[in-house]
Amino acid sequence: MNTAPSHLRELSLRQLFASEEVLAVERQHLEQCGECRARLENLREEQRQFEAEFSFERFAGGVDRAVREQKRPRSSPNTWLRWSVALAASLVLVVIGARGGLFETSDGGPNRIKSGAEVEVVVRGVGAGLQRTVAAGLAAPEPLAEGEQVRIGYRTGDFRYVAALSIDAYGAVTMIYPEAGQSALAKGGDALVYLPDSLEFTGHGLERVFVVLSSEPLPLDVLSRAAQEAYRAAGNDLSRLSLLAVPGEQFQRTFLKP
Amino acid sequence: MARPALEVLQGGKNVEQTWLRELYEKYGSAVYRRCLFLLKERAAAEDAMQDVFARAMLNEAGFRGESSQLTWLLKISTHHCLNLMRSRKAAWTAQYARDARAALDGHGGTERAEARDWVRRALGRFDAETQAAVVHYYVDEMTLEEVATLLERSVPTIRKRIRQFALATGQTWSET
Repeated sequence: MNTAPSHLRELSLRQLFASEEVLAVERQHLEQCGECRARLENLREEQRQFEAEFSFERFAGGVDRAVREQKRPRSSPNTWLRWSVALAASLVLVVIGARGGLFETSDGGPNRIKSGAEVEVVVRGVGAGLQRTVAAGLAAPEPLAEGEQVRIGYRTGDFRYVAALSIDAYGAVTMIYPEAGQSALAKGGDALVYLPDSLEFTGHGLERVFVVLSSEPLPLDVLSRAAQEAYRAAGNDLSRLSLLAVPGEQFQRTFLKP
Repeated sequence: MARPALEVLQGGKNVEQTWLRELYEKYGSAVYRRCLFLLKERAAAEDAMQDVFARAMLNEAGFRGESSQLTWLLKISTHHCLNLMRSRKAAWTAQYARDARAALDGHGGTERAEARDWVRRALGRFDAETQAAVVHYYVDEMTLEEVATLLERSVPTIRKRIRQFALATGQTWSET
């Protein structure tokens, strides 16, 4: 039910307003159609009203604030990434790494784990009886139901430092652990250690989680930039994201948020 | 290496301000209108608009490479606002209907405004992908092919979602 098919659609008018490419036939129509020219003029007036209501200084200040906000590690309940310390009634233990084969490691294969390093992910079901086994492979993202929580555990093996981050379908990178500084001194050696708290993704679409184990501490801004560069190199397509260009062993897992 | 953020680029502040002003003058109203259409609150729409442009700034390389920056911004705006609506369980109440109608009448005529108002009121009953597809199809008046490309889905999938939406809302739908 596209309205007014004999006239230019608003999208085309807005593209003309923004000096974007449109079809030649649309330009011809505009030249011949007074109604569409009037609608284009309405868009110009709309923009004038917009600029009267929101000065550029106010707009730029707000965008700058939003940029800083989006760059900041997000951990409050008001953001799409929410941490919770709630104890869930049911747990699904998904072994990811050498045994499960669900993570790719930095050597490009799913099964090779250097020096005994390993990562495990625990998915907390919403209620009893909702446990499930997760299918393997990066090509099949792990679907998460509303309210399900994720915990990330690791065995460092010979590595000494750990960091975890995620990147969403729009390329926004969030440091999961730690949230600032550099990768944290790992605990445990051969013991399985979980990162603090549970992770609940909000929002929708894909989310890729990386866990990086390293021999030396890695600055988190280096990790963040590596993730952003990998995202760009993948053509802004999260499903094509490769490993991060950082030293150490890394594990990744893709989730499909509800 | 692509720059990661606004303030990191040495000596680039003026360049960025110039670019941001260009975006403001070309797309400010379009993005704000989309946010206001979905969120119904001016303050919320302003915040959402700023978030959308921030995302463009943070994804500059990809954004600049888009064949239509307007289409990219409308996609992000729609996605972001639908998420906000879900997260705060925003109601499609009659409280704002008058404002919305007035805003819509300003640029499109009664028929177009009625169609959009119907779409907006019915959106809350559908899943996220259908919501986005419906907004781009009915409000932006994109073709099925354009919606499918934008949302990275097949045309049959988008057609199916639009048809389901139309049937569920009592509309007669035929592909145009």
